[in-house]
Amino acid sequence: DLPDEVTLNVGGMTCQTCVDKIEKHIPTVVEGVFKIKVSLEEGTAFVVFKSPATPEQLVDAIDDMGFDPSLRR
Amino acid sequence: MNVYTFSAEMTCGSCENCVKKVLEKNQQKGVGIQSFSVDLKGKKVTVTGTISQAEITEILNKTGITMSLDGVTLLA
Repeated sequence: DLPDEVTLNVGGMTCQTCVDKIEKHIPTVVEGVFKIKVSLEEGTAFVVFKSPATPEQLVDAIDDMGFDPSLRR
Repeated sequence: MNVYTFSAEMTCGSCENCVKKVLEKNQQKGVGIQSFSVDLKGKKVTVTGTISQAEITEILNKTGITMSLDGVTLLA
């Protein structure tokens, strides 16, 4: 099936280390992530993914890191 | 009741906040965390509770911060 895209709001990021950590860690805990681009300025994470990954899994994984993610409606 | 001490590669204030938020969230979930302390300068995380070593290690590893267990002491 075709890959899907989602942009999440991510609160709690204050420096580039947080950005690098999320971009490095999420693909290792959520299967099916093709691409993840985190923007410190906008406080967002843009993710390209395929099953079994789901937006909810991405939110949970970032929440487990101690940040404050939410789906952009 | 155990006291777990971890060395944690926390690099800035927000890493400290991340660890605190994750531990608070799990404490409220009732996983057996009685108290914890996070020392950014000393790069140490101390967790006291009935939680198992495997479970607290997994919770802390999910933060994406490199953690290593220094020691476990049993509280009488």
